[in-house]
Amino acid sequence: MGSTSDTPELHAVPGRGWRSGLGHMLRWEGARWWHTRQWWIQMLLWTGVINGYPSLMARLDDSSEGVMLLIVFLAIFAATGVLVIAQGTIIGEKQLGTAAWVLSKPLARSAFVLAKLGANALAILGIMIVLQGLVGYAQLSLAAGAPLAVLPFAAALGVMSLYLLFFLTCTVMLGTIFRSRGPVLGIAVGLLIGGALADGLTTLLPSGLPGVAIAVAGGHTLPAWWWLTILLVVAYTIAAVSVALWRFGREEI
Amino acid sequence: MSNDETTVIRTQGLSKVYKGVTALQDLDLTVHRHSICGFLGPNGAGKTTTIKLLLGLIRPTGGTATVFGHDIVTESTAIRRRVGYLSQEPRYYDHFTARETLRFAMGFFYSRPKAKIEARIAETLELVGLADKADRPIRGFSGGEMQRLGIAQAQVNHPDLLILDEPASSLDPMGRRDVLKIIERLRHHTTIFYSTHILSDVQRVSDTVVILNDGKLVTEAPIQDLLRGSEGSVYTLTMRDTSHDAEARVRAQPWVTAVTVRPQEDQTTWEVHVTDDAAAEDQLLRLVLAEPDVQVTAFGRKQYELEETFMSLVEDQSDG
Repeated sequence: MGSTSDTPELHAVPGRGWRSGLGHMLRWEGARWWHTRQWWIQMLLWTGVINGYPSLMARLDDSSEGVMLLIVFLAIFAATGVLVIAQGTIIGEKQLGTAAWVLSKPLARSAFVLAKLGANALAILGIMIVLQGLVGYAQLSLAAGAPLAVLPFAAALGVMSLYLLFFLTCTVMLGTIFRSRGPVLGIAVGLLIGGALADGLTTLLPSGLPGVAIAVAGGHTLPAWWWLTILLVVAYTIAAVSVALWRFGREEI
Repeated sequence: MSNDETTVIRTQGLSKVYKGVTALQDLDLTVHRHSICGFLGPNGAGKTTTIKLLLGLIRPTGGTATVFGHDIVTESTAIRRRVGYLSQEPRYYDHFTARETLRFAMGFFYSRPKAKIEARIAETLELVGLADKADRPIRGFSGGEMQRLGIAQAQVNHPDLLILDEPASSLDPMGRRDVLKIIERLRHHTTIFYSTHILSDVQRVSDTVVILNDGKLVTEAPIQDLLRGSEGSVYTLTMRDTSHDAEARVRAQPWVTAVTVRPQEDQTTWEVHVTDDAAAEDQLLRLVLAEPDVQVTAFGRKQYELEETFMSLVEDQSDG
């Protein structure tokens, strides 16, 4: 009774090299967010954290201050949330032994890592950026009595998406390198806080992105070398994904 | 059918060293199609290491191996497409139900039609006796239920090779019996390669045995050959009353190498070591029964318990 000869009526999933099992894994990783209580708990939590305070501020001051606070809150609290969410995605599975089980199926290791990144990126961007952006835009526009300019606001959220994606990929990468959560969370938090404190280096670090986003949203003068910051963070993000794929490909499960 | 077509697993000099510690050394192994191969060895013998190497979960430090002709390092995904695996300490997502666990596992192999996939899952749950618990979260499952779920997820895709790492070690006798029944039911459809400490289980269901000790192959043989022992063929005769003439006649045969006499209460047992099975089966009983006073109550070829053979082989290898 073979897997192919015995079951002609079942449609076999084709082997796809490094993508083998990616679609299936991505669906199930997505289901962890969207088919459980997770999505609305996260939605309520982040709406309260990110939009609660800027909402109060928007009533007292002009809308640009509200937008700035929204971005600052994304930069601090949403990024911290990303670290907490992402730190267990790979390590948790390695520690529990579920990674060994899943990888005993025809799932490429690259597909395992990419599915984790993809599903979490979609959920994080959906809940922390798109939803919070919509809520923030609506309440700040209402407070201002007129709609805010859409494009600068959307562009600022795009910059913040890159910021959160960097911390997601970086934390997942650390999860492929270490065997316990301590170093993963420690290094990731160190990058977040250290980057914010490294005043002279913000052009070269992801911590420069919130400044770019605030300038874009408010129509202010962009920081010098803003494009370099964006290019570098894109490069860091790609490098983090590459290291994660390389390292997990050699992991002894 | 060529040899390659009947070979499922082949390893040549397969080795694994972890941080200077040799877990597996120069393993040469062949497992043929539709066999049930019991993989034996003491703790730390290298059984789980071998299994993980075959599945591509770890990388060899020496040698080569193929499963269905696919290289374990470069074609691991193709191998896992045809293999079902139950690990020694299986872990699944505990928020899943049994049905969801199988649905998740099945999705790596088949994409549609959904009705057929669901039917296969239901059939598998029935096979392992979990149909009535199919929709309960598995975090509440007992050890036996988890093990049955493990077998279910390993064979839901009807693999050509089922690799089971200690499938019954954590189970009570009832659970072990159930697992062995499932293995026996699957034997007609698939090749089964399973590691265990429980020698009586191997003796009951396996047709081939591989014994590993200290990372080295001790022996690989059909179970019947192992149960015959290493001393050549031995026949036992149990009788009431005995006869020195009969004993002398037996000893005089050119195919008899030794006769050991063991008195036991009102009976006596002879162990007759022979070089010619056909002659022994044809003549031995006649030679003894030629004496009118002798009453033979049992006659047969001596079968060793696997435990005796295992201990003897492993101890010999350790001493050597």
